[in-house]
Amino acid sequence: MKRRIVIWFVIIIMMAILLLPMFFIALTSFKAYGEIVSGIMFPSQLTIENYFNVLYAPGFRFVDFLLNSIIISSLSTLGSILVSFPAAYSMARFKTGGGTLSSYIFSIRLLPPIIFALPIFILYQSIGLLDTHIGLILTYIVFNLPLSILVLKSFIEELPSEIEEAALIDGCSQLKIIASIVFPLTMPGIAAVSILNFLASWNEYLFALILTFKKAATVNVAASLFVTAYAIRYGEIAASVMISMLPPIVFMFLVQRNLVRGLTLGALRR
Amino acid sequence: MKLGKTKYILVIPALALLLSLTLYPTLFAYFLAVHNVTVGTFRNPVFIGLENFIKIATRHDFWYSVGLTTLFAFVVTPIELVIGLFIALLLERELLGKRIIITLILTPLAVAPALMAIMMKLMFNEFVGLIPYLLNIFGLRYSFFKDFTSSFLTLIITDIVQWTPFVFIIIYSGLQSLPREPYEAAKIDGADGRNIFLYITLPLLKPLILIVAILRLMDAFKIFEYVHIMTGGGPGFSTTTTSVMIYRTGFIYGDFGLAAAATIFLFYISIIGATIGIRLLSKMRMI
Repeated sequence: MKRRIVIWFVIIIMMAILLLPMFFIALTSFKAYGEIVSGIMFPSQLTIENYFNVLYAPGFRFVDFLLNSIIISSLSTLGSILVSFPAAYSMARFKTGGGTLSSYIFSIRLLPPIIFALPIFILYQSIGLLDTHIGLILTYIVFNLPLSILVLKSFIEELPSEIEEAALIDGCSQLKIIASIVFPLTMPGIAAVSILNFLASWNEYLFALILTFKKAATVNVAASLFVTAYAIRYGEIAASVMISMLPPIVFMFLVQRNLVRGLTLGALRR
Repeated sequence: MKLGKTKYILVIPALALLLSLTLYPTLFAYFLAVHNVTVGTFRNPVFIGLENFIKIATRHDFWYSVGLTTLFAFVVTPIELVIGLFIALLLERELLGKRIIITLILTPLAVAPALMAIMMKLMFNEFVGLIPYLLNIFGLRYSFFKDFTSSFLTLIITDIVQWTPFVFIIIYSGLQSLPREPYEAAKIDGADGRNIFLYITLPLLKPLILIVAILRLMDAFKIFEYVHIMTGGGPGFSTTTTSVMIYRTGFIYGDFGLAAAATIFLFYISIIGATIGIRLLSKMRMI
């Protein structure tokens, strides 16, 4: 019994430490400006004026940035699946490219993204993709591909290939087999990869910071600009963080099982 | 099976995208690096040979940043491994509301590193932050971000809070799929908990721990958001990691050529790390 209490105590401490930043930022976002600057930690009353100020800030279209994040994350997720699924199938079933291709693709996941940032910036500048949705979407598709291909490949490798072989003997075309047999069977893997891709795109910062300015900027960039623009308006900064952070957290709560599946598939394979 | 070219056609879109946004940029970086290209001289770059490479190779701050980034990666990874393993073992038993606990522990993984950085910047802020407030209750006055040690410490804490859940969930999932037989045999032989952990659990988990370690090391080496937002690389140059240094050289000071040369150095440094990592992983048939 005593052991159980100790275990619970340790678990609660661990959780408290991990969740402390979020609790603190939530608290700050509901605090009035006066209470923040006078150093009051636990406010006498809560207010939503910070949220109001963020969403209706003059010259700062936060709602637009929110919309940008939704568009860019969704479309890059979709694009990444469309491109990675056929590649993963080919690599899993026919060993296309062998170990070399796998290693090349995986090495991109390991390299620091800053290596690609400057050339992509200049490339985008010369072909007019700077500060466009499509530009950022393309970048996210590419940098989500390694993990997507890897996870889908290991998922497809675990599927029995007998059904596909039987369909081939029955005269099914290769494309039809992929579309109507393999794709539905891979659905759980695709769900897991989609979640990972969506979270990765929503949470990405470096490319969004470099490749967008006003038109296509995402919420994370907008929130970080708040830090410089609003220097000591901590309440507004906290509210902007809350707004940017909430969608992926809610999303993760809804699909946690799939997320865990994707994370572990990406790291271990049996 | 009659496949012909289908299998190649299937990988072409992925490969074309990858090459155009990864291989092309790496090659283009060489062109930039041997020219004097700044925001001002962008339209007509002047060929200057290896000058940029020499500049970077002899610059103390570049190697300082590489050393600092390496140090950071090797400090946070072991700590995250130990805490992640510890939580995974704690939750390896029947507990009330375990699924909710796991969901809550995983929450930091859904938070953007940039937002985590903003939160931590406020947490450690000497006027409104929770940490200085709590320290003050115990009579301690301490302002963070004033010197290297405290700035570096806040970066380490931020990385630990954000990425320990990643280590936890992978080791936890690994624990679930361990074979039962060795444990039953050990129980029959009367082994105690400590010995079971040291001689059964840990060896069985070893490959998994190694994978997580490699992934965390490589990811920690990329650190950009925390530094860029929390310390701005300061005070002075003291917490400037390589990613931040390249970002500043290229996008703040506008020296594209010099930034490209630094990029190429970083590329080879990372490739060495990545190659060792991939060798280890493929040896264990993980990719």
